[in-house]
Amino acid sequence: MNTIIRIQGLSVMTWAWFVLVGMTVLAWWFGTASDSPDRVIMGVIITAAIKIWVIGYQFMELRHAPSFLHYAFVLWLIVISTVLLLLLGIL
Amino acid sequence: MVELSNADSKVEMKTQIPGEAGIWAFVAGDLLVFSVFFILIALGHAEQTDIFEASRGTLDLRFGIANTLLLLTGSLFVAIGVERCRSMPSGKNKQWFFLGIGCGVGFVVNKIFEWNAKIEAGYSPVTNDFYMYFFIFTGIHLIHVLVGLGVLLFLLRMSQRSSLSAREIQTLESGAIFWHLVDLLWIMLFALLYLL
Repeated sequence: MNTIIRIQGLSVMTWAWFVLVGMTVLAWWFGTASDSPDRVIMGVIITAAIKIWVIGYQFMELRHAPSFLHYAFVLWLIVISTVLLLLLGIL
Repeated sequence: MVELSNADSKVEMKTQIPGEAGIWAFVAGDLLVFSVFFILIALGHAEQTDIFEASRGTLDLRFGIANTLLLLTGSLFVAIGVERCRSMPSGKNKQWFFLGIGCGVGFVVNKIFEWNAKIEAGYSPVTNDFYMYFFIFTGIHLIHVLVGLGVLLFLLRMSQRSSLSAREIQTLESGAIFWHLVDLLWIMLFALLYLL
C-alpha cells in the first residue's frame, strides 16, 4: 500500500475530491432546478450514494481491502438507498 | 498520463484490511444506527410531505453546501496525510492533519452559526418533526465531528515522527477511517435534510 498513483500529475485522491465536489454541485442542481419531484428524489439519493461509495473506495481505502469488506459496504449502500427510495415513493 | 511513485521504488499493492479490524466493527455499527435516522427522515418526508418540504425551504442551503465542501476537503487532506506518512514519514506530514483539523473546526463554527440563526428565527426541536430530526440528527453528527477532531489531533502528533511502525500506521489509518465515516454520514444527512 506504499504506492501513490498519479494521473496527469494529480493523485487519485485529488481526482476523487474533484468528483465529489462535482457531484455535490450536481446534487444541488437536482434539489433546486428540477421540476419533477420524483426526479429530484431519485437524483439526490443516487448522487449521495455514489459520493458515499467514492469516499469508501478511495478515502477509506476499500480498494485495498479484502473483497468481503468492499462487498458488505456496497451491499449496505444499495440496501439503504433502495429502502429510502421505496419510503419516498419512487420505487 | 499515469505515474506510480513509491518511496521504496518497490510496487506493493497488498490486499489487507485498512486500519484495525475493530474500527470496521465500529463503522458497521454506526452505519446501522444512522441508517435508522435516514429511514426516520424518509418516513417523515413521506407522511408529512408538505411540512417537511416547507421546513426544508426555511433552511439556508449555503450552510449545508459549505459544510459538505469543508468535510470533503478535510477528508482529502487526511487521506493525503495518511498516504504521505506511509510512503515518506517526516515531520512535514503534520500539515495535512492540521489542514484537516482546520476544515473540521470550520464545520463546527458554521454549524453553530446555522443553529443560532434558526433558533433566533424561532425554529427549535419542538417546532415540528422535521426540525426535531434536524436538530437531533445533526447534533449527533456534530458530536461525531468533535470526537473526530480529537482523533485528528492525536494523528497530528503521531504524524510528526520520522519513522512509524506498522502498528502505528494501522492506528493512523483507523483514525482516518473514523474521520471519513463522519464525512460519509454527513453526505446522506445533507441529501435528506437540505435537498429533498
